[in-house]
Amino acid sequence: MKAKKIQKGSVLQIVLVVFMILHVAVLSVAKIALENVRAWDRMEQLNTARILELEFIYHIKQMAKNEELSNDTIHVEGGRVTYVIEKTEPFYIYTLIEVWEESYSMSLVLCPTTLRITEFSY
Amino acid sequence: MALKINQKGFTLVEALFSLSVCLIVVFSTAHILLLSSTKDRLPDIDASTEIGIKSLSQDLYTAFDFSYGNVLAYTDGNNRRNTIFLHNKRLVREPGFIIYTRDVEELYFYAIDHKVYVTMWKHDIEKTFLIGVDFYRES
Repeated sequence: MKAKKIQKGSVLQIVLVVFMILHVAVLSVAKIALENVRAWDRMEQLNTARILELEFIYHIKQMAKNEELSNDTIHVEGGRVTYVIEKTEPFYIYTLIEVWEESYSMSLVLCPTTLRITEFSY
Repeated sequence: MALKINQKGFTLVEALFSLSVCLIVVFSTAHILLLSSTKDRLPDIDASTEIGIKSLSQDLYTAFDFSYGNVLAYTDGNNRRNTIFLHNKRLVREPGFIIYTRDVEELYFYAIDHKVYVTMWKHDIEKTFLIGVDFYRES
């Protein structure tokens, strides 16, 4: 029995196809993992912003209670709040909130007698 | 029996190409492993809970006259009494039946040093969130 077999790169073709499939699979998983990490980062940022805003509200209410409220900047882990107060009755407070590398502004209306926030907007 | 097989092996270009594909696969895998290790260091975050808690804390900015326990009661900026409680594993605010988050097994509201917290159990994981500030003075 005579067997004449000529291989002109068929093994290479199979290997390349397998590599391509592996590569696409690995890249897909990497892309999903990357998107998940970005989503976790965004959630962390949201969480930090919430804590920062609440710590700021706590700070201004405590300062208003002690009648020591004045323009200042407070630092909390992950961000800071810079605020300016218009000391009319009620107090109008304008803030610049910086969380990680992003910033936004928020304004509040605080009643100094009841220590209640009557309005707020972003 | 004669067997004739023409095997010429890989050329240099083919070998280099295969090597480059191998390197891409190896570096991609290393990248995934790096990302996985970063993920493990991050705290366990549940997006729906975080968004719900953020919404809840904003609702409490203008709130005063709190009462605590399994139900959080407060008066809002329009002098309307609100309650936040667990209903069929959903964290709900009445009036309006606003659903903040789902799959909550148990929760408890409390205040320490004028700061309002909620501790909740979700999928057997206990989490505590700062949700408000209880600073109020009768005029």
